[in-house]
Amino acid sequence: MDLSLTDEQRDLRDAVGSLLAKQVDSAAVRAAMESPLGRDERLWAQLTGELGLTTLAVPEAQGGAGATFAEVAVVLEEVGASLLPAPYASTVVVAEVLARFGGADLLPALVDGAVGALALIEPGDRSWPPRVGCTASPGAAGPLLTGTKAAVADGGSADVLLVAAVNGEGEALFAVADDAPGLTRADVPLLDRTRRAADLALVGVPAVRVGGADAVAFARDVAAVAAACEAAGTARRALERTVEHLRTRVQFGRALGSFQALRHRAADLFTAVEAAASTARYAALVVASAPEELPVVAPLAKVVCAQTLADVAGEAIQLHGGIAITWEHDAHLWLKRAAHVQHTGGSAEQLRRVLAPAAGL
Amino acid sequence: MGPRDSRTDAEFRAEVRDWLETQLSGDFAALRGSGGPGREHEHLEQRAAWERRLGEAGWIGVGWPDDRYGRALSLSQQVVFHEEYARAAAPGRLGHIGEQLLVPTLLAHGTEEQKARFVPGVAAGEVMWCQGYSEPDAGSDLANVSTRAVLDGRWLITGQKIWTSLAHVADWCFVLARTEPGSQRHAGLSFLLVPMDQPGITVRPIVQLTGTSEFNEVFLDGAVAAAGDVVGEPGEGWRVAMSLLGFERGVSTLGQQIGFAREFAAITARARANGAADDPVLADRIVSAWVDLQVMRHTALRTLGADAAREAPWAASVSKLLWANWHRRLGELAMAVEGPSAAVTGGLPYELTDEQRLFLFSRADTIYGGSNEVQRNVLAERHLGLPRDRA
Repeated sequence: MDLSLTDEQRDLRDAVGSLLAKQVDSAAVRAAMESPLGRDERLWAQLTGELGLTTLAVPEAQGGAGATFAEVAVVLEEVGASLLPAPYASTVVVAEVLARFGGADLLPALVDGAVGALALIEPGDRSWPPRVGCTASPGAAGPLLTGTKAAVADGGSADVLLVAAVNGEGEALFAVADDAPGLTRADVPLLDRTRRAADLALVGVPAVRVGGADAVAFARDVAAVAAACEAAGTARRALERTVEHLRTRVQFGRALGSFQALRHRAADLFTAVEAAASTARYAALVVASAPEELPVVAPLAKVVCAQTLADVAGEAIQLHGGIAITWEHDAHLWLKRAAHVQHTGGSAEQLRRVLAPAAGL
Repeated sequence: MGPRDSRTDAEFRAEVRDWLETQLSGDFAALRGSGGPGREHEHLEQRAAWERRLGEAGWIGVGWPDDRYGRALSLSQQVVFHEEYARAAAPGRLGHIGEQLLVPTLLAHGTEEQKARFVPGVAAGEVMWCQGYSEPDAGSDLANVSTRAVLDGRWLITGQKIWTSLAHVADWCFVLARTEPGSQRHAGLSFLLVPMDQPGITVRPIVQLTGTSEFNEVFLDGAVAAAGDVVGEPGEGWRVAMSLLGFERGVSTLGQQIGFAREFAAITARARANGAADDPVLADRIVSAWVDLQVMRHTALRTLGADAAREAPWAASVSKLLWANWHRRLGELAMAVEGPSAAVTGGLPYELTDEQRLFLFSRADTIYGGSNEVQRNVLAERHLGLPRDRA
């Protein structure tokens, strides 16, 4: 498996990177954070409809670009680097699940710029994999979902929701439209203000079955890989900004970065960031071409990238000094993003428990 | 999980595997697992015979870029060879310094006469080399080399080298020596080829923390090298010596990781057997180590890709930091899994268990071959663009 970026992937990275560098500076992130939908609508329309970035990996026959999740991962890294407040990760996860498990009739909406969200976790549940209490019962025109979901990423603005529920066969994954009767959504205020989430209440909501327990597991794993890729990007940018500070900030008559105590810490962070990026890249290739490895590689990538981002964000604050304790500086955005990634989608301890058999325990 | 082989690579893998299986079931069966770190002193004679067997079969120098002297295999086939070698638990190499350090240097900087004279012996597994770089006052600060060589019809060399692996079995040593009197730092050094069997050389083993010896001190007291046995121009030794670093593209990394995976598997087996695996905190540490081993594999795959120079110019330092730290932590983990019996040796006079040997010897990993601190400086200066520390 060759983990080098292809020339096309490099071009994609550079194009998305420079677009986001122009449009998503710190002020833009903050403006989007404070806006009602939590995103810059014009930019989101450009990224989705115009550039088709949410459906890169959707087959051309279904209106997508016919690329793979490896290309999506390139975009996710840039999105993570810029802290773009937008439902990009949620939507590409939904697109990947629909492209793989059917629900093809829902894909055109995504191609037209719709937002997707994945609803797995239920209120008060600390377990991993998450316990599914939401039920799907047969209705006249198809399954009807009843239950609650907690803090669903981008659940408030999603046009298509993928909801895990149990029916006679066990766990299964269902698609629900945003205007389905019986669905109510309530925004949840998040620590990481660059993101949005909503609680869902479902009372006999008409739904379409997308797949069984394998679809639930696949969705969970792709979401973990997406989170890993985004976190790898955020970590890279946080380190770049920190290194820039070490290069330019002068104290005791010399650049901070000339102090070995500080540059060695930066070097360790660099090692961690490149290692995490390698694992995120590998996991993205697994989504694209070796999904049988996903149940192991996805939690692995999530554990590694979340921890790396947490380490980098923590050190970024320390190495920036007092300025990083202010609201004005971006360091707290990295730290909050790190906490969000760490504490959602399975804790490190839980995911390592999932990985124990693969490790030989 | 292996990187997916192309069809040719798969056939090549089968060829290597069969050969190793046959050889290591016969005369050399006892050599499986011998000679690794901390066990460099084992089975020296048989391992020398193993080197010659490798040479006869053409398995030495598979990655040399000149097909007059080796197979010049593709990068992926070199990886396959190293992986299979590790998977078979084939013995630690006695000839790797000649194969992986000396010959690539000769192929890049040597004269045709030097290549013709020195490469075939290494390729045949008959001539062993050691590396004379470090000195008591030139460790991480290698440019502080003070061993002197004077040209008087031949080179006369005086000084002391230290941490010289395999000096006691080597036939030759490549020595970094100061050949311009009064020169400083990187200037005025030369890369000399010095025969070990001569009155001017004394080798003294260093007893290490394991109680065994694989490193030596080498005393040069008027040691002689032929006038022509200098690689590159006299005074160009630093450039020649440093170019060695560029030869290592990490093809042996994936093989090394197979060895690591075997050490790790022994620890998990022990943890299951003695109940350590039931301790959730220890179990979490064990899985963390496994996770980090996978991360090293992904990083190695990235540094071995088709576009590695653009993708991962930092590969050497990042890989070294990752594996050295990982391996050192593994030694600590092995002891923790062992529990109270970790404090008891395997027997008299000082027979160490595998866990103890790993724990003790892995302390060297973060020091030799460019210490962690040196690697961090390299990353800080070359890849992060941070200014040098001011003394």
